[in-house]
Amino acid sequence: MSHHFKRNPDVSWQVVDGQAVLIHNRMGEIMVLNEVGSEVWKNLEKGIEGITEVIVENFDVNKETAQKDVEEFINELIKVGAVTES
Amino acid sequence: MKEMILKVGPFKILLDTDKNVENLIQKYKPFISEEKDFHYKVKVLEGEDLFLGQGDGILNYEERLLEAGKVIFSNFFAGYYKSDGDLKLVLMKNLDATVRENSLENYLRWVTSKILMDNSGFLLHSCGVVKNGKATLLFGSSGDGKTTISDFSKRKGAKILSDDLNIVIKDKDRFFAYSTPFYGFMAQGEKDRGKYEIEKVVRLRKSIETRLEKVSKAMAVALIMAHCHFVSDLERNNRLKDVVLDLLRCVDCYELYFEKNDSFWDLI
Repeated sequence: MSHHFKRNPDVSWQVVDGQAVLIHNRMGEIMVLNEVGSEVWKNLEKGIEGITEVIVENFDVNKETAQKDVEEFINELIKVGAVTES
Repeated sequence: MKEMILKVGPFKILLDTDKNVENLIQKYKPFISEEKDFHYKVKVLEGEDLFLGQGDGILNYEERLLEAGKVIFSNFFAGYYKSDGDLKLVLMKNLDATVRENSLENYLRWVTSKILMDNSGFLLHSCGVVKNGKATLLFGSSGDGKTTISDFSKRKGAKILSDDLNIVIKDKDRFFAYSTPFYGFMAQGEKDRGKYEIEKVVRLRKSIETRLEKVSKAMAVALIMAHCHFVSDLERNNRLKDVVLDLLRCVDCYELYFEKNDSFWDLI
């Protein structure tokens, strides 16, 4: 898995009260991310390492678990077409 | 008579056709305006256009942006929309009367969604219930219980806007609901045609118990947008998202888990 990612330009998004709302304009799908997922989404440009640091700083989780969760979540975002590897 | 003016929320749409519109006047009767003024004029023609063809019997739609404006192509018609008020509907020649009527209604639904989007509003698949002078819009897809809620609310003496599709529109700093003349299970005459301030919006959930739960603003944006009528492209999704967020600054969104009885009434 690459460590750098890009948001799909067809996905418009906005953080509402701490939760990111993602709208896939071509597929017509709408996703709402939880607090952790929203941090991943907002910090996508930082890559796996950078995002993991943000998560460890802001949530009660160790680095290994955070990195594994971040990788799994980004894989999900890639699968639904919200993110591409760059 | 070859013209009629249809009232759709705060807007009046003149239909100018080359055929008699008596059947349409009957169909939309309580929503027909006797006045002469209108906001939008639709010229209804028959002829050749880029129809999608009759296909496999499933009604298909495709929306495109052309020089002529926004265009919706379907199996039986091509409908045009520009915000300047001069609109056009081209129906396939020699359509069966029912298909012609349905095509006209589908175009009017689409064009209404465009008009509303240009005026800080949208069409919501919902049952509109008026309680204590304010509207609660209970939204969901087909089969989620809009008609059930409408029926039980009527028995409680409530006014009902539409049991299927209601208008949400901003006026100054507040949001209001109106019924629509479009098809639902309710007879046109039963629909209340007033303008009511929206008190709350509620996603319907069939359940084995009855309870009301507030949902987060983010989730509310997703739930409401998923139940808006005819919104498909990036620009409109973004504009719709902004209007929905604006609505949610004025009203809260809930999920109503309900049994098939009137126990929901005190919660809405």
